[in-house]
Amino acid sequence: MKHLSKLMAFTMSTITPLLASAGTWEGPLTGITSQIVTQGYQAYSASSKSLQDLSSALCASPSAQTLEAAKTAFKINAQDWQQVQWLNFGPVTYFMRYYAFEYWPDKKGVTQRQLRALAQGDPSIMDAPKFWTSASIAVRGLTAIESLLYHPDFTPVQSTSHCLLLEKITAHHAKSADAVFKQWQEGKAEDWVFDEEGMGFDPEKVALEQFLQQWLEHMSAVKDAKLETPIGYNGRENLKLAEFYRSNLSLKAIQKNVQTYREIYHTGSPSLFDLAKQSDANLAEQLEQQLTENTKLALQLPDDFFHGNYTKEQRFDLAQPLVKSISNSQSYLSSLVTKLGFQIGFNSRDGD
Amino acid sequence: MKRLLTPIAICVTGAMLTACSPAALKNESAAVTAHSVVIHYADIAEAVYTDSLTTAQTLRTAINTLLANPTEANLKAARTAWIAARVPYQQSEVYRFGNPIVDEWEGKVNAWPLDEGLIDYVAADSYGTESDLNPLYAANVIASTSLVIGGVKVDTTNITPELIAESLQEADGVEANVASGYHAIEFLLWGQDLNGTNPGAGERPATDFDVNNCTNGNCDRRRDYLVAATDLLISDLEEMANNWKQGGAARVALLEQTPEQGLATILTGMGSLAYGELGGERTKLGLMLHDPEEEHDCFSDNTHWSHYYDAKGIKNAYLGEYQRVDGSWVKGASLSNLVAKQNKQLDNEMKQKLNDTEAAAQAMVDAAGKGQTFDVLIAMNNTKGNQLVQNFVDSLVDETRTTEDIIHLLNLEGIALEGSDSLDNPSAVFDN
Repeated sequence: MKHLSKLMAFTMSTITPLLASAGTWEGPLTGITSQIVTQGYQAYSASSKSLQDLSSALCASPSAQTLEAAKTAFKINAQDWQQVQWLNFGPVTYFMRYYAFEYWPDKKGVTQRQLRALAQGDPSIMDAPKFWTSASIAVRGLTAIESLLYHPDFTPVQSTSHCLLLEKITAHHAKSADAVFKQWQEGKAEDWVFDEEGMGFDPEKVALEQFLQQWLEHMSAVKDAKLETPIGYNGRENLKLAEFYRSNLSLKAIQKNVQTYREIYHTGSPSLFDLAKQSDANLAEQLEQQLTENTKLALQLPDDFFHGNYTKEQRFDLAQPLVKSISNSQSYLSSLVTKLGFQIGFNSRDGD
Repeated sequence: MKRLLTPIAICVTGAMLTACSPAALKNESAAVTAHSVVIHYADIAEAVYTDSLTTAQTLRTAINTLLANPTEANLKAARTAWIAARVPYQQSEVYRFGNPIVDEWEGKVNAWPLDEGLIDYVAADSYGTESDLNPLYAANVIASTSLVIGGVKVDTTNITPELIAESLQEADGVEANVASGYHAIEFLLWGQDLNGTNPGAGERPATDFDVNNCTNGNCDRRRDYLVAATDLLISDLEEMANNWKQGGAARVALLEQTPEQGLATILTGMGSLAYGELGGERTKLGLMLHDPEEEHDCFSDNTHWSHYYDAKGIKNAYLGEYQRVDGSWVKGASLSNLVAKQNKQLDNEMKQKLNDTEAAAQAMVDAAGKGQTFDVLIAMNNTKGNQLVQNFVDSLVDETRTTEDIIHLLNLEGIALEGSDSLDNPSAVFDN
């Protein structure tokens, strides 16, 4: 997922860690790495392979049925992605995989334009060594696959070149997802942090700090890019800016994201929640309640929230409680990570 | 209100247009304070926006000549004037971030990228005919005497600066509807670059402006659009040049802050332009997408120079100097002086980083001179070209790290630098 506007702030504050002994962070770090990230990528890898297989089946026998099967596989895969989307860290950062898994929002139609160019060109170039690891992020992952399956400009059932493109992209996508899974399976989060200052550091803490930073930023992205922007919360409504709008996954994606947030909070022994309670029981509980509220409010939104016949004002009213709830979650989480002794500059995708 | 002129301010007074003497600079350097640095920063702004205005007026003159006699030679001269106009303007971009008055205004003159089909004819096979996100994607106002914008019918019979500014710019709330500014004019002078990532810029013929021998239709309206867009650019630049004069809104807003807040403004501009905007949005994203549409000056293939002068502007802001278009220098109290007083080594490091960035930008300029313009450099499989662009990104990132160190040295709080996700892990993105 691409985020074009991010603020990097440099804070000067000195924070005294409250839970500073070695091994303090092993519980949540190991838990999140194992149960959220590695298992998440395992599922994502498996559904990517299924998508690849069903795309091949579509191209071998093009029909409405095989197209529908490929679309179903796409939806499962895109939802699996939502489980791990919050973390742009570790193996997913290689070869621009994170951005390639989902190039969004594509405000300029780059994906369709580049897909058209690829479909019109010599298909053998796609078999060249290193083609896919250096190809444009717009044509390597879910956004491109969604376009090929759902955009009216592409007709994989009728067009051999479109279907071939779908096969090539899904094959690369599956290979890429599997590579990330295997790297997580074989390594750990601490492998991906470095003692840049050469002054010694706690790799578990630094890795968890990265996780928390990513989590906070993702919350902003969910609130702003996924929810507020398409419904015109602070400007003009453009529902086509919603994530996976064409495949009607926009709301399901948000629901999955906020469910994952609560899992992040409670995974591991001890979990972040457990450690937070030791540091500030009241704040820990406030975050817990807000994360629960996020899930409840997201699930309460009507299934046709992004596609139904609502006025802008109606959508605004429906979304407002969730927007406020996620915003509160951001505040509580920000306060909590500071209390826990993490130095996170307000590196935010948030426009507030 | 009478203006109080410091020795440095006298040096930058437009009427004098003479370089300051080294002796005068030395005295000023010894007395450098945060306040004098901020004052001089405003003086450079006045000079650079004044130069932007005068070069835009020169462009207007060249366009008059083109329209009076639409020959290829006169079109080439107008293009040359446009490229010359970019030299001071790009050096002004360091003022955008940190100065809200500039940032709010900037979109009128330098917004990009644009859905150029809003303005004029385009090649349908590559551009397409519609966009999910922009109902006016191929509206072609030059060919239309009315348009429906946001459900409202707009009379476009007369193409005027007012029509462009009030109805067409960001029409329907879509940012890609860039109807005004340098890039709209660039599109009119060059036309679409249909070469993809191969060498070559736009090739609009001069006869597109020739009412007696018109190509591609609507030459009269295309001429009207070119004149209106250029006049609008001039009035917008005039506004900003006035904003930086004594008593002007931007200067007043800057100086109403404490001197430390003024320094924070300077560093915000430097870091945000280097990191998020130039390094990220304008350069790294182009590498990630290998897409010529991600080129800043995509019609003219002048991006190498635009990037060079953006980087130059950052260097100017740090060194407190600017070479005007007439060749004279504006020099005075600088952030560099201030940093050197506290940490000479850090000042030297910053100067070295700025020189490294300039060298990396110069390498792109040199490549362009051999036919490898920015859109060619970012092409997939152009490994050497990609690396050249990556070097520029890396140097900007490196420079920003030192900017952070300066922020810490000067104990400036609450500085937010514009960032870019595309820069998160630049060393790991390419399969070497």
